Amino acid sequence: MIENLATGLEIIWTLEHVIAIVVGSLLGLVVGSIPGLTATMAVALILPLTFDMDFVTSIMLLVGAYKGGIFGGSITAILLNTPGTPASAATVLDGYTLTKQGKGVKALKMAKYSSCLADLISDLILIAIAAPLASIALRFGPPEIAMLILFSLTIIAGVAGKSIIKGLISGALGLLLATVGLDPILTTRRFVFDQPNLDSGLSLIPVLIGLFALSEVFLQLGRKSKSAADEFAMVHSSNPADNRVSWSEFKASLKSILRGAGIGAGIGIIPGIGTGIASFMSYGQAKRASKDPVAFGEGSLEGIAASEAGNSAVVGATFIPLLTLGIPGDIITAVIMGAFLIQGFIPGPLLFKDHADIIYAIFIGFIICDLVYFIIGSLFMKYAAYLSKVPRKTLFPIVFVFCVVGSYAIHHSLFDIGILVAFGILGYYMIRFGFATAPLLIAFILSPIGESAVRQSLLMSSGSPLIFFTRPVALFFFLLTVVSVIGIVRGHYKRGKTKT
Amino acid sequence: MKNAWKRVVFCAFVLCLAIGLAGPAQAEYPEKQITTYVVFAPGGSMDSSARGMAAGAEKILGQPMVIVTKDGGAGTVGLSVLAGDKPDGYTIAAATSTGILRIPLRRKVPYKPLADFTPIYAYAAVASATVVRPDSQFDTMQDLIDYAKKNPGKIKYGTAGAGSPMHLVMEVIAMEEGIQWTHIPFKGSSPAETALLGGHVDVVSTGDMDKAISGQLKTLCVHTKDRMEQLPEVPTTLELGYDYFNDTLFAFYGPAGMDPEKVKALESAFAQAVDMKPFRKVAEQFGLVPMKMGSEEYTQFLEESWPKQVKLLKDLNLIEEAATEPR
Repeated sequence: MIENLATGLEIIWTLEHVIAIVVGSLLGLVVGSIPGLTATMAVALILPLTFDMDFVTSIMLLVGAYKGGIFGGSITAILLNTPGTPASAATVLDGYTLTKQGKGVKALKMAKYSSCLADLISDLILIAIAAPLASIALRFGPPEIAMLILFSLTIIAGVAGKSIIKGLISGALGLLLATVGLDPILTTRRFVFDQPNLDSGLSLIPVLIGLFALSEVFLQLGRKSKSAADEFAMVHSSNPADNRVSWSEFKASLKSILRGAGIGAGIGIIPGIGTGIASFMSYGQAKRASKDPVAFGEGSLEGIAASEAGNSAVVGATFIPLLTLGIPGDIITAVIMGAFLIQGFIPGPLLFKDHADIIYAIFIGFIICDLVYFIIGSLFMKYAAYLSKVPRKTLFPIVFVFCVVGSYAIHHSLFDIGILVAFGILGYYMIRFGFATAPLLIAFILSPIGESAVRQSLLMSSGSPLIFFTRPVALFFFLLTVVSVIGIVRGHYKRGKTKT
Repeated sequence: MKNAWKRVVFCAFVLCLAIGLAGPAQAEYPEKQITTYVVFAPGGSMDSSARGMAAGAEKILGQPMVIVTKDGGAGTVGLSVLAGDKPDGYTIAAATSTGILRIPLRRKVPYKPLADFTPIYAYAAVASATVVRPDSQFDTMQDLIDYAKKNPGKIKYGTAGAGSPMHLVMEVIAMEEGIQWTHIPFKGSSPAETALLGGHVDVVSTGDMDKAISGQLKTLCVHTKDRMEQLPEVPTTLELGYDYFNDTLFAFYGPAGMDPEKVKALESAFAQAVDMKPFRKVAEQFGLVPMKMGSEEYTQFLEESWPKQVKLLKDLNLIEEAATEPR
């Protein structure tokens, strides 16, 4: 392996490849930080440009865009309550609160450190033990995925806000809204009212941006400025401690970062789950384990660290099933698999045998990517922080424009703008009446995966629910769900007692 | 300063107008770029092959073909948009025949499949195959069928979804052999193959040929009309005596009522593009079967296939009546 790494380094270390990484990361950062324009879109837009490039260059460009895109999403999530990609929706919860407290730069820096560290860990896992991990991924059939999703739904308790009942109502609404569209098994229409635009369901991006970003724009519009300082959306703190992450703060979050990296890598290996879920799950677990769980959602640095570590660690790990088995773990790796095929490289076990040097070159490229987007990210953030000098009345109309453009761009469909506005209004009223919007989003992301998996499992077992309890991995996640529900109920009971 | 900016913007505006208006003088088609919708997401065989074709055809046409992704609704979203566009020859779409022949039968679409389009050129037949794990106990289709006869309902097969050609072929085999097996639909061929490798299903009827061609999966039969160049040993469904082959085609369409002269120009460009390197490379990688079917022949193919498809889906109890009027 050492030998392979050495030849790999030789291959990757050319000006062309390094430029590809820098350009890819930069494009990813810019696209990812614009709400609605996701990392997926960045990669898909770049793909056709790579057809005439040499193989390693093209892959590096795409990987750079992927990593940069996931990271870029966190910048606007923190500064503007506008997750650039679904992956950073969990970052909004604490990031924007910190920005409102004048600690936006601190939050950005925490996001950067934790993203890069978790990403690096995930890449090292990829390099060290890709092959054995891939076989674990294969054990996740429909019953295992169904139970994993059931467990993931317990995250809702962690982001429900003040009232768990309202959180559950919000989550149930998300589950329900996700059933709009074609039935995943029978392909019959459900709740589409003969509207072909709804066949593929409510698109995630307009739902996400509507709930988080547009609702915030509406809230800001409804606020009256009381003083001159209030003219600005963000407070820029002159206290230097608010603009950096101290060593002790970093150390306090380190556990959450490592846990997030583990969760992200685990989720990344299993095909078909995705970055959004990883960040929420990492966030939920960090809150459960934290000494200061009450701070989560009120501007906790640990929360940002957990969320960003979770989504960044997914990236390296999704390449494990792709490279070892030829299975794309998510939409982005599916697009990148297209690049492999076009160039005549078929991902799978043979790739390691026939082109080990090139594969290791790509691995090293992954790590260079981490370093590059760390540096580019630092520069980018310096300028992003100037947003705090833009008055609210200028800033939020601009955010509004981006919301609309982003929602339109995803499918070039005016219908999606209607969805955006509908969910903006829904989000506005939910917040006004004390319903957290995050549970709705989590349920909305999880529901389609979970529904397919449950129904596929029941087809496999000819209708017997025992299939969920007789397979060890599925049973493990079921028991984990039971344990965490008991934990949540007990926690609430205790807290309720101390209050009275 | 402010004035200077105003002037710059004004000049840019005038320039745009000038470029836009300079066109209409008499010239040979095409005199500007041709916007080409691709109705599936980038990276897949539809998108890659359309780009390969465009790369060849634009050399002949002398104008760029600009690819615009309009995916969603299994290809019906892009076709809906195309149906409403002007038939001036500057907006066309690359789509599968599925959006014309299969989806509209199962659910109502906002276009009339046989009336709203000008079929221009079919350039590739989509290959699909019945595959098992390399270490599977089944070596031939007969092994599989024998086992299924003894164990009704026990064989679980995955496909890219209910109503897909890959699903239909398995149901046709089951109907003709009088056997039962259990269908587990996935979201695409790739997740179905993942479940196959993990042992969660026994067989997959797949539309992604890369693992079959590279030997990572064992192929029991292919669903193409003729044997595949890349898999010369593997029999076709027709050879095995089943009255079905996957007739899904990749083709270019325009809105209804295109000028026949323009159709001809495109036809001849596409006919040459099929033989050119960019498309050949893609076809080989994705296991597509290159073909040349012009506008007239392809229109006739669609007309004749419609009643056949209706009958097949009725026989398999998948529909009662066609959900969309053909014209």
